[in-house]
Amino acid sequence: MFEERYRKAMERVRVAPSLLDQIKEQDAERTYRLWEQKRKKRVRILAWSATGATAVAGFVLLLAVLPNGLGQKLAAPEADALSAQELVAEAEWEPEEECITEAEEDTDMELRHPSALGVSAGSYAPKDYRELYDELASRYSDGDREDASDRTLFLNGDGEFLVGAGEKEISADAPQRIESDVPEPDAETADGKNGPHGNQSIGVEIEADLVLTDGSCFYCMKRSSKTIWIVSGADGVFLETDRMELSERDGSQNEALEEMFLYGDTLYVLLSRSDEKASVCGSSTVVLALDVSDRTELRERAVFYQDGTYAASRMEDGQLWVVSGMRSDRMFELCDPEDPVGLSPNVDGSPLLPEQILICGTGRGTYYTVVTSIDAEHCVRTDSKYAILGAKLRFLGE
Amino acid sequence: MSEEQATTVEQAIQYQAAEPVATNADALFEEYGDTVYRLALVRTRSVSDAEDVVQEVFLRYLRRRPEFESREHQKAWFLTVTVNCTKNLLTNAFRRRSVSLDAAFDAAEEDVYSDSTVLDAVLRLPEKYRTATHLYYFESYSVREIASLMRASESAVKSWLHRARALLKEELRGEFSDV
Repeated sequence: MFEERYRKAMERVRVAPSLLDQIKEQDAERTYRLWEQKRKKRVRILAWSATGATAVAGFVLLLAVLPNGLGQKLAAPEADALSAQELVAEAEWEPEEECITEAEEDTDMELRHPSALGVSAGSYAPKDYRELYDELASRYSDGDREDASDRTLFLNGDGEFLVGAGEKEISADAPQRIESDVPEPDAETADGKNGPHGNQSIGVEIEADLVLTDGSCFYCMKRSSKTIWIVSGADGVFLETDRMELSERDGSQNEALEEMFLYGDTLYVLLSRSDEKASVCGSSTVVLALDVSDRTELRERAVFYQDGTYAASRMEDGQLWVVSGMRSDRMFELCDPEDPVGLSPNVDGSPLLPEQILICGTGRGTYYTVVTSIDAEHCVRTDSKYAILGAKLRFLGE
Repeated sequence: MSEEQATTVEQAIQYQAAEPVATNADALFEEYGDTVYRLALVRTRSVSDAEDVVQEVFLRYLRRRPEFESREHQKAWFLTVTVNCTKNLLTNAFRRRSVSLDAAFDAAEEDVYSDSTVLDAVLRLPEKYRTATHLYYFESYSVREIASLMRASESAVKSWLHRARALLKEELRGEFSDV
């Protein structure tokens, strides 16, 4: 009797379902904090490495510039045996393994697979395009809809996603990148040849906006002229080996150069393209893979497309992650309610499958964030391609 | 011995359940959310504290992602961690000074109980007695299992249950013969 009454009374005690949302948000926030600490530490190490690499590269150049005899005297015999590339590679040694702490290892364990998309409170993948249409129709019918919800998407380099609340700053650029302060020419530098100071340095034909190096060559990008070129710095002699005018590509008048990554013998150039005729959403992000195995001949290797304006990108562990974003209103207006596949963002010309779309259920956002990855080594699209409806991209990990 | 190990051996031997163990946070919350909350409420006698404990327990799970051999083992893990979390809360000096248990109890009572006679009586028991009573009568754990969960000896648990029954008899004025 007592047991029965106690059971009955206790069975009425139920936990509030909203607690689960709070738990997930706390978990996402905590994981983000730990991961951010780790990222900052890694950036410090890389900055230190980059400083060392710059110093060594400067020393190598000094030796090359000095008269031969003096240069050879200054250079130690063992240094003679090392190429500039090897010296830079040595300087780029990262004492990461030694520095790793238990906390960092713990952080690694916390980061989860894209399946953790489900950690977003109330988020779900639609079972078909019809469900996606119904959800969007519901959001568009609301007067108080937002372009994006208050959900925040965190993405790290392993393609792991966490969705939480709150505003976060977009992370700094990768430390290997050397970028000028003013990427676009102003009135004084309208010819696009000079730097932000407006004075053309003697002997400098064009200042690049973005320069990458593999230790022996520089890979340069000039946004205004849409030019990519390679400069060989071997043996202290700088020679332009080849250049590619991307302005000669079809539809290039609607393209803008955004980013560049080097992976092995492939140079990945990211472009944003606005073309309302080509894409329902009005904008797309293009990844142009250039084969640089022969540094004297830049060749197009592959091209990848995804809907949405370029937002961010990151190269991590051989994967190039590209994030774009777009509004869905035009897609919604133009799509056929009977066959609403048109609501799905396209990647390489094919709409994403319903299971590759995540709807952030707790907000009313109608903004798509598209996240894809490319296997940088083999230059092929991976299966990691997703669209998140109603989440702002606020953080892109290293 | 860690919280996970504390229940591993006995539970694993005792329950070789073939049922798949849930790992998804939603499924786990669905399955153990109420269980954890009830035990936390019994121990803390405060709705807000119990909710804090539920959050802490599930956050611990999400951080550690322990592996379980059976559902019973999993349940035992959640209950053990709940006991530990509430223990931390109850021994917190600030809480001891700043929270009136009666006030907390009244607040808890308002929200969740309609027939509060039995619950009143149980919640007025001392902490260890009411925990053992809850685990025994509601979760149907044996004395041995309760001893394992609460990290106490079996005789101590028997003693708590015996004294709890005596107090309940007095409190309920003989209303129930099976206490």
